Parts: sequence; C-alpha cells; structure tokens
Amino acid sequence: MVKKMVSRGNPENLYVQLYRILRGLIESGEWSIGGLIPPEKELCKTYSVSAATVKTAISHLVKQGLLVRWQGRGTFVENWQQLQSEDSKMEGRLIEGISHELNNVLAVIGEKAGWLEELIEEEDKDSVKHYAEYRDAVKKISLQISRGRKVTHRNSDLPLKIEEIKKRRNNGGK
Amino acid sequence: MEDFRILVVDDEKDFLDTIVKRLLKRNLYVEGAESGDKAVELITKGNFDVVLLDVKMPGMDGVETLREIKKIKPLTEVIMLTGHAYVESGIEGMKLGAFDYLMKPMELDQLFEKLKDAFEKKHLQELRIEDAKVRHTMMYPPRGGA
Repeated sequence: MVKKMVSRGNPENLYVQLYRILRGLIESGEWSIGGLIPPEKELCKTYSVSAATVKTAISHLVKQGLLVRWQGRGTFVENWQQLQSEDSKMEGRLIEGISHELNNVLAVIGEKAGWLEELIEEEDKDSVKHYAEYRDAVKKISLQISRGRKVTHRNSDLPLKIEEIKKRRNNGGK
Repeated sequence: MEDFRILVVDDEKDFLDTIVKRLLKRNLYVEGAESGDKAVELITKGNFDVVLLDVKMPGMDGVETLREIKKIKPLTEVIMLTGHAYVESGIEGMKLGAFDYLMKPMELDQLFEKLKDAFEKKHLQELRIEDAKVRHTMMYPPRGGA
C-alpha cells in the first residue's frame, strides 16, 4: 500500500494532515491497539515534517484518547474503540456536513470565476467596453474564494478542538 | 505532456460542466458523469486513466463507486473529491485504493498536478506488468513458439 503523505500545496495545516494520516493508521489497525508507535524522530523522517508538527499531531491523538504516552517507554495505541463516544462521532459528522455544503457552494463559484477569468483573458481589451472592470471583478471573486477556502479547510480541526474543550470540562476545568 | 483520459464524476452539474470545460481547454481528454451509475457505465465501455470522483452523491456514493471501478478496471487511478476534511471518507477511499484525495474548492493547477501524478503512477504500473509478462514469456516460452 502506498504511504499517504502530507502535501504542502494543501492549505490545511500540516499537523492536521499528519493527524489524519496517523488516525488512519490507528483506525485501520495498522498501528494495533496496545502497540508501541514509531519514535517521533522516525515519523519526522517518514513524513518529511518537523518535530513540532509530529508533536502537535500526536498530542491531539493523545488528548482524544487514541494514544497514550508512557514516560520513558514511548507512546502506545490506546484501546480507542471502547473510548470513542457516540457524541463526538456525531459532532464530527455535523461539522463535516456543514463544511461540505459550504465548500460545494464555494467550489461552483470558484470554477465559474476561473472559467470567466480564462475567457476574459482571450477578449480583445480595446473592443470590450468595461474590460478592466470585468477582469478586476472576476479576479477578486477568485481571491475571495481562496479566502473562504482557508477558513473552511483550516476549520477541519474544529471537532478536535471541541472534543478537547469537552474533555477539559469533564475533568473539572483543568 | 502525454495524452491521458479523464472522467470527472460529480452530481453538481454546474461544477461538473465547468471543470470539464476548463480541463478541455488545457487540451486534456475529459468526459463528465453526473452519477456513480453513469460513471461505472462509461468506465465499463471506455478507457479512462484517471477518475476524479466526488465522495458525496445521491444514489451510489463515491466510496461505492470507487469499489465498483476497482472491480471493473483495477488499474484506473481514482482521486477522491471531498467537500469536507475531517472524517473518514478520505481515509476510507485511501484504504480502498484511491490514489489521493482533494478538498473542494481546489485550484485548477493543484488538480492538474494531482491528475498528472495519478496518471504517471498508472503508467508505471502498466509498464511493470508489461515487463513481468515479457520476463514470464522468456522464462516459459510458449510451446511450439520460437
């Protein structure tokens, strides 16, 4: 099986991408329950990311209860199947649904604007009365789309954040 | 760039039509399908190298369609398109043999690169199979043959 890698062209944070990859390894059983995961240094090498990125991704998995750190021994896969609550699964799906809808809207507008941009480039700028304004407007629409995308794509770690807040609350606000 | 054939599958017609037009403008061979069923029909009949497949569609969804595609034409590379980032569908797709996944909305250049990478992988795989066949024939020449 081909190893999934993080992509720097992706507007998503690297740690979120790595988090998702590692979560995939845990959920697919490639990293088996109770097993020791590879050392952080090795993960940096495997996924060509910094130590900070690996640390952040792992600490999210620890906070979620998928991994557990044992001082001096390493990080192990927790018995997550028993721990994952139905609540957090539902929240994840809810947020997923919302960003899905939004992204679909952005995608249509983005494609249409991109298409217009390409067509306008082909026009003879002297014979089209408002050429400069059309071009400017369409460029700005595309710009706003990438702005919106940054929000929806980066918000993909929202379920993680919510879970952490809830865990903290359940632990008496620690 | 080498010629390759792309199929885009998405139930959002405005999105589908526009992306097909934009890729055609870049001199690629592209067709569109509005549903998983239609995609499977086209893939069974025609030869596509790379499929760009929306995960969430009414009827036969992206993951099911991916399974079917891999059954009919295992070498076809599939890139999943998702409207969201968080949960399983991306990972699920990777487990089922998708090449990669992209999140909507995406830059056309980014898509273009991904399509090329997927095609290269398929091409290499075909070369490897061809190579293995040749080696097999050399080791076990057909009876009565040269």
